[in-house]
Amino acid sequence: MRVNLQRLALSPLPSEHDTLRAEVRTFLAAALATRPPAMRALSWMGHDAAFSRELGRRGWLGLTLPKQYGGQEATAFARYVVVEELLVAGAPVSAHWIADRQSAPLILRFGTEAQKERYIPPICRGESYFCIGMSEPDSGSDLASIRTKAERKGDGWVLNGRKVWTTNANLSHFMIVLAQTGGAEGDRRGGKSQFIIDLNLPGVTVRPIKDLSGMEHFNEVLFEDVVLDADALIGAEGQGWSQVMAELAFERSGPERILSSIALVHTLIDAVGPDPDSGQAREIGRLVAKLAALRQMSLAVTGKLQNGEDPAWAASCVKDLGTGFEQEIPEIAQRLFDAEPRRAGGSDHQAVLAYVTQMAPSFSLRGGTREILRGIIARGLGLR
Amino acid sequence: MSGIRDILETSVEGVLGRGVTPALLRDAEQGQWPAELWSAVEDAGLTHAAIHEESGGAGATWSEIFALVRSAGRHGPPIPLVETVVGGWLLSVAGLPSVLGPVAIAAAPDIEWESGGFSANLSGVAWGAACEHLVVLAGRVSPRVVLFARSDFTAVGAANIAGEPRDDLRLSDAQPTATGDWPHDPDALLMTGAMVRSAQIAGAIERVLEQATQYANERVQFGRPIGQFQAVQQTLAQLATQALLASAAAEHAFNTADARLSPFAVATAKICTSELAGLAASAAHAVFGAIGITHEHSLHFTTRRLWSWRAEFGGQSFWSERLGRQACAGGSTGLWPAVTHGDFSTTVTA
Ligand SMILES: Cc1cc2nc3c(=O)[nH]c(=O)nc-3n(C[C@H](O)[C@H](O)[C@H](O)COP(=O)(O)OP(=O)(O)OC[C@H]3O[C@@H](n4cnc5c(N)ncnc54)[C@H](O)[C@@H]3O)c2cc1C
Repeated sequence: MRVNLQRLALSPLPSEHDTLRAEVRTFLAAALATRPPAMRALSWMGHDAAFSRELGRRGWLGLTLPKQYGGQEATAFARYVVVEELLVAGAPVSAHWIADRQSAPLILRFGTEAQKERYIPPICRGESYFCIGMSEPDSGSDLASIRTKAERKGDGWVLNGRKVWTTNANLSHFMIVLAQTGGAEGDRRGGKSQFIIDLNLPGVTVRPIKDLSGMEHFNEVLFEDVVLDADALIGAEGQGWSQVMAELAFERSGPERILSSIALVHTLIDAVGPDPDSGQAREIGRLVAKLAALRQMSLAVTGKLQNGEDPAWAASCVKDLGTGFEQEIPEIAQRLFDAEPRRAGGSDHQAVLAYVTQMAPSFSLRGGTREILRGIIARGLGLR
Repeated sequence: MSGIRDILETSVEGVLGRGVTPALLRDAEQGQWPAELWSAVEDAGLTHAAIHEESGGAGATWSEIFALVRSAGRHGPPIPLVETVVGGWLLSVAGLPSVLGPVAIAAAPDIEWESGGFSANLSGVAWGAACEHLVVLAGRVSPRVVLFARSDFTAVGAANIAGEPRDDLRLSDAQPTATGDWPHDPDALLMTGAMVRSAQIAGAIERVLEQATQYANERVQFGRPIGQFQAVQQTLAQLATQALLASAAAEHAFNTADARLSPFAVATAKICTSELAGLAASAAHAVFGAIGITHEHSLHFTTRRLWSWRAEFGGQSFWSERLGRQACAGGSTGLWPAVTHGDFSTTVTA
């Protein structure tokens, strides 16, 4: 049997984006001058609607989308540059994050003209926020087993069911829900469709779930006889599974899969100081090298997106390696420098260490678990 | 990506794919010089890939040579193909005519030589005894490329764990065949060596990934191919991601070297690939079980090279300490500009 060796050709970042990077950096240096490290550590969980609107005003949201819908028609690399600068600076990007990353591209690809005109411009302005309604209490990795159901009624639909772990449902306007819409018994991939749900509709209940650190970012969302118009359906009826897979590729490849712990790298370097012992220097050198190499991989996946190639397999590889790297950082921090993580009253490093240590387990869960990604990678190698 | 790059890769894959057999590798470890393989490589113009066209080479840039070196890593030919490419490049950049035959390369940064006899002890030189010429990059203050013929030095044989010659050479009052000023970084040979080893490691990791994946589809236990067991799949999936990361790190170093050898990119490549070499070798052996550690099996030709190459031209500890010191000196605010700019020495701030 032939082995399916897949390679990932590098895509050097075009130097034309240097100006854009400099502009973003200058803006962030001023805008975030007083943002403390512990807040920067929130990474893409930091929420600030005013900040999102300001990014929209500057044309830094919806970068790759058509101008007709408020986008910039820039390349995937331009978006990459803006996003990595935002993440490294610890900017509060959570409000628009999902809408900009995956909802708007999904609507652009699968939506009707009316849906594009309605939803995409406010996303590009940083005014309209989305969340992802995939997981359910009994359907995590096994997403195909979902039970949330949309049934036809008149021209429209009635939605019943329950989603869980929905990041930002409590702070978003819309959710893109994956629901069963019929299909034969045992057809795990068929009979599913996606819907854009206005979270203010009657019958929608959003309940925040506290995480282990006491923060509330994900939610449980109940749908009880929620009446939907015909145009709540996004894409084709029955095509929900393949639409979701396309969406997940956007979700798995970006710089956020290598930079979640960058705030801790920063405080660690400062805690160690300019004159490290050789053991500290080696660990930090290794960290920097891994960061730089993973970034090249992540850029290569962006090159695939830019060229319209299927990035799914390579994106799974980047996410698996990248989240592993993110999770290593609090462990390395402990090895290099004695500091007790502190929720309150400690140094910046202690506060960042506390946050990242507690968030780290989630890095390899959200967006598909490590084990599931490795299953995808193995199938790509030709193993069954 | 580029015409020359593809031509070089196809050509090297053809020559090495045909020529490098387990039998040849075994004989080479017994000290037999594979003359036919060497001629094939030389006739295909591969050894002169990096030499300027005016001097009779292919005039390829480092980014074009990357795939050649990665392929050399996949096949592990028991000849100084990669060293001869680097040696040719050193001669060419120093304005010296190219030479025929296998070339050994050595850095002698502590020897500030200008003229007259050249004396040095050079240790661990790849194919030092078997080569016909030796190219030394000597000195830091005014670095020079110095060319010697085989008769100018004596060699004491030594070998790495892959059985590749890593000889100790002695030059006493030797008269160079040719010399030229080196117009670039005095560390260029150390960096180039680390860079090519990282691409060789990337190629070798691809090779063990292919071998292990194929084996997992063939070997049956508990009534089915072991590749159907999730634990084995997870191991191979990790190996696949390691192959991608190694290749990305190495390729990036070659791409940046077209403009200038980048200490940052080279360190990144060597640190990452050296670590991945160990992980990949261990994953591959895990999949093969006992058969993989027999001398009879061919896996060890690649894994023993992985274990050797990672330590050459500066191993993990050397490069990571260097890079880490720069990172700490620059502090947290220097880190990201250095990563995006690919350089710690010129800290650009917005
Ligand atoms: C911080 C955070 C934010 C999230 N945000 C969202 C969101 O916005 N929207 C959304 O829809 N979901 C969200 N999720 C949910 C996330 O997608 C799921 O957690 C994930 O898909 C795993 O599902 P699960 O938690 O039910 O675990 P399970 O699927 O129950 O898995 C538990 C363990 O079993 C392993 N496992 C399961 N099946 C297999 C198998 N076939 N082979 C091998 N191992 C297996 C898993 O890898 C894991 O280790 C979020 C999760 C987190 C942690």
